[in-house]
Amino acid sequence: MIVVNTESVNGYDIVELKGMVQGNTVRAKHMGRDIAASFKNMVGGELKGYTELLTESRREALTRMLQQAQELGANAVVNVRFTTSAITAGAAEMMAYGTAVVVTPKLPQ
Amino acid sequence: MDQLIALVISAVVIVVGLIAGKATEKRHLASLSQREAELAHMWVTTLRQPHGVSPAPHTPALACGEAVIASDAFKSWATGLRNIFGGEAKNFGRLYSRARREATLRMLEDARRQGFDAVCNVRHISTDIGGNAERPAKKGMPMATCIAFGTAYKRA
Repeated sequence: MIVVNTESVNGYDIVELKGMVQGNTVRAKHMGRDIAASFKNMVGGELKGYTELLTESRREALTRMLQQAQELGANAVVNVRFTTSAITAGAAEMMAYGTAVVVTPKLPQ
Repeated sequence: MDQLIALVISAVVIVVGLIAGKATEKRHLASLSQREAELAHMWVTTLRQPHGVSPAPHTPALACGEAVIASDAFKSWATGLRNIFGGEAKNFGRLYSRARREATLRMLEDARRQGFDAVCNVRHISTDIGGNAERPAKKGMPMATCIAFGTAYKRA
């Protein structure tokens, strides 16, 4: 599956539109991570637990979006966007959405 | 007496924050500059379509990177003061710029891992993990979050 956030896939022609697909997830880290984060907030530095949280959320949201695209019979998703919202402390919602399409490689000139 | 002890503890926390925070920031900035120099050959643009694509056929792919950087006790306290008088909170500006640079670097490293040397249509988004927007009265944990993503391709 090809995933890009440009409006078309370079080197490919879009031959069929399959419609909008999306995937979302809300993830939280266990309390230990939240306590560690509050200590880190004293001395500064990267909150690795929360960075992981974002990475996992992004992967999960993308996977769910791709599943939808696959069910529609698409082989690419173009113009992918991410959006996030705050739900509660220590949790984040992440949503990925894009347009499922069928692409074919451009013939060499 | 109890109030005096509480005051002393807060002062110690702020001083520890000042010293440790400065050291962490300095180390992080040095690491950022070094990695940015290593990845200087890669193209990063916000153009909506790839520019100067390699003629060799290849399939572009999504590249992503994220970073969450915590504030320290001194920065949070100083920004609290700034909130009283208004004006630019340079401390938090620097904090966000570190998160953005870190996320952009991770996006570039992701692109390089997949064998690309250019990223176009780069976007930055942010989120509120600490719940600071949800309960501003409780003054949760100030942190800078950034997610950078774009379409990676091979340049000519």
